[in-house]
Amino acid sequence: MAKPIAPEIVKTIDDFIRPLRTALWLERFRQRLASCLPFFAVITILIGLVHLFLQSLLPLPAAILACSPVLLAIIQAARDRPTMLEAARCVDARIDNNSLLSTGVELIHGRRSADSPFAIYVLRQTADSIPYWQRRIRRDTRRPTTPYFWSHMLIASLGFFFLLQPGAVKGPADSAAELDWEPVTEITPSRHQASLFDEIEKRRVGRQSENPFSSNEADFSNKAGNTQKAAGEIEEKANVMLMAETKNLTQLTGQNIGGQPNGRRLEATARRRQGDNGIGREPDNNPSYPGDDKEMTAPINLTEIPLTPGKTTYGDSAVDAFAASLMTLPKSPVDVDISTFSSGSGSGYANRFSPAQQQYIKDYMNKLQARK
Amino acid sequence: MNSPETLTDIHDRIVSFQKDFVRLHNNLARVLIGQDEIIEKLIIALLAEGHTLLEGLPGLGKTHLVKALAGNIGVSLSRIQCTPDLMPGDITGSEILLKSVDDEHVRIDFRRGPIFASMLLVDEINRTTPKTQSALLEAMQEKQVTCAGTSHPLPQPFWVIATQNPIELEGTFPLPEAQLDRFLIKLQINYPSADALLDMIDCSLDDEPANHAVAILSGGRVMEMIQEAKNVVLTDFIKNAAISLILATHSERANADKTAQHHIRYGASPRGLQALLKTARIKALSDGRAHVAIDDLEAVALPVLRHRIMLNMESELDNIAADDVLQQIIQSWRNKPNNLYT
Repeated sequence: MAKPIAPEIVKTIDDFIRPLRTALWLERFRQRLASCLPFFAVITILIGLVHLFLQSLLPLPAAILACSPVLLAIIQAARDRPTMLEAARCVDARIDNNSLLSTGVELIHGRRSADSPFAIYVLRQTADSIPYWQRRIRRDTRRPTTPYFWSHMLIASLGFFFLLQPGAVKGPADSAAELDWEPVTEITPSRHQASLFDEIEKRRVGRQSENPFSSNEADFSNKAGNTQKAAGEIEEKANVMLMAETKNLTQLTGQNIGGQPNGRRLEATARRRQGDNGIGREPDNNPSYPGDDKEMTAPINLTEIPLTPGKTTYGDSAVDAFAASLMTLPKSPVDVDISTFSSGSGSGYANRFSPAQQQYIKDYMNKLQARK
Repeated sequence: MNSPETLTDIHDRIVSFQKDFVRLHNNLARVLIGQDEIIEKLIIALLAEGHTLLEGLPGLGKTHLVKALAGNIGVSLSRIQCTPDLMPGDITGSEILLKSVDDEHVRIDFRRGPIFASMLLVDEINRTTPKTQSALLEAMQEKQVTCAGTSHPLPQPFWVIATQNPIELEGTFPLPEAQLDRFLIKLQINYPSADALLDMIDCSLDDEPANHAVAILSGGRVMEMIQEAKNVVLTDFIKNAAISLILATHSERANADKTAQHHIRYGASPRGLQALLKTARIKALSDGRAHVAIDDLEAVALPVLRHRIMLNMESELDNIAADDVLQQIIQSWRNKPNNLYT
């Protein structure tokens, strides 16, 4: 005699098995993660050591590579969702149940309907046993421990720590990457130094308008005597401007303004730059420069700070070239620490500029030294 | 819906089955002491309507056990002592010419042989010729005997319990594979322990307990139990697991067990699969369950499969036992996820 399965029995069994199925899924998730932990730790520490001692690696791709076993494990676990029957079998195995729960689940969700009296009896027996099983499962709270979990995590953390350290050797790609990232916060306040170049440019333009027929080569020897003096004047003027604006900023806010360092720091930076050359650019203004200097390859930006044109000076071509090299820097607001340029050894800036830029800086520094 | 009476009734039937099983087991255990597992498997084969091959050295109580079993379930028992000159007609029966007293009427009548009994004890079956052994084939499978073109049905239920001696090989005829496959299970009786021997002396030194066996179950009740076992729930998971175990013994298959590939020439037959599931159902019911579990399959796998596999020549020469090979395969099968070879 065929009888349908009572809905309450189906509901009771399904309600019991669903959370267990989720728990089994999470457990598989944990197992897969635990199985990939050694690989994760080994790959991370290897990448970290390579980065630290052999070659500088880009942090993001290296981190992705190190995490690839974990990612694979997560993907695999996400795809491996247990069925109700699998969950029931796991419960049966755990509480030594003689396959009663899995039989009940298969009678409900199996390919053949459970209409025999014995099948209905098994289902009823399953539903009646569920409270007892719940108590058993609740009591049996053994959580399998992951062997060496903390040691693996420690090794992996060490690997990431190495990865975050600056590498021993830096390739061109890395320098480019650093130009994109690190110097961004250092080169900004050169607005004043840009104004210095602006001043140079204006005076040069004025000189050219005064003597439009003289060539650079011919003028150079005449202008050379005046160059050092003019440069000294410009530097002094720029520094005075820096100090003045820094004081204003400090009085106004005393805090960060538009993401810039605070006034006190600006002031300190300006003081530190007293003896240095003013260099830099304004990022957004870049009219083309119709200069006569052959080395000038990029336009010099104009600043909004009005400077009273002083006496005509003849800009050094090296200064122009250096300014041009700075024009090729990223447009982001930057803040150049001038102290690194004044060291002369090149170690400070060697890693922050491309070889061409480094060469320009070296030339400029050499010429300044020669002039002094 | 599911009325409580119905479920209670099913529960009572299962409990009743279990009680009768245990009662029969206990009674037989008083006859054959120290062989509880053999007795359990023998009753399982009985309730699965299967034939049993008992193998053991002389004097271990094989014949004694069968006589006690027949006495306890109240069925007719015939005994055939096999010899090399035993003819098939001596077992199945033969046609004889009958004349009336006045010699006016003559007719040919079929005289039934000893096979026409509910339980047939074929003692030392390997001593008779293959021709006579083959006379049992039809009876065991079809449960009928054909003589001179006429089929004679055997009584229901019908069991053949054969015994054989494993060491005396001279003058014996090992059973052919087709014959072996018709036995549901093969039981190997080993020497009992010292304690069991002591108990045996106490109860059977001057008496034969099997001679005093009283029927504790009627033939009708045995038939009810046989029918009850057919209701036991067999899920697809259990069926697939059983199939997986059977196929694991086939060395030529790609997913065969490594042990099978090394040692087995021919694996178990589909009849072996049927035997596995039939006996597992009885085992489940005897444990008070209405469904078969994996443990039931494992419990009956060895006696069901040990005579259905044929070892290869190298393993035979190395004296590797089929039981050892099977035990490795069963262990490997249990360790597989979901008990499936993939």
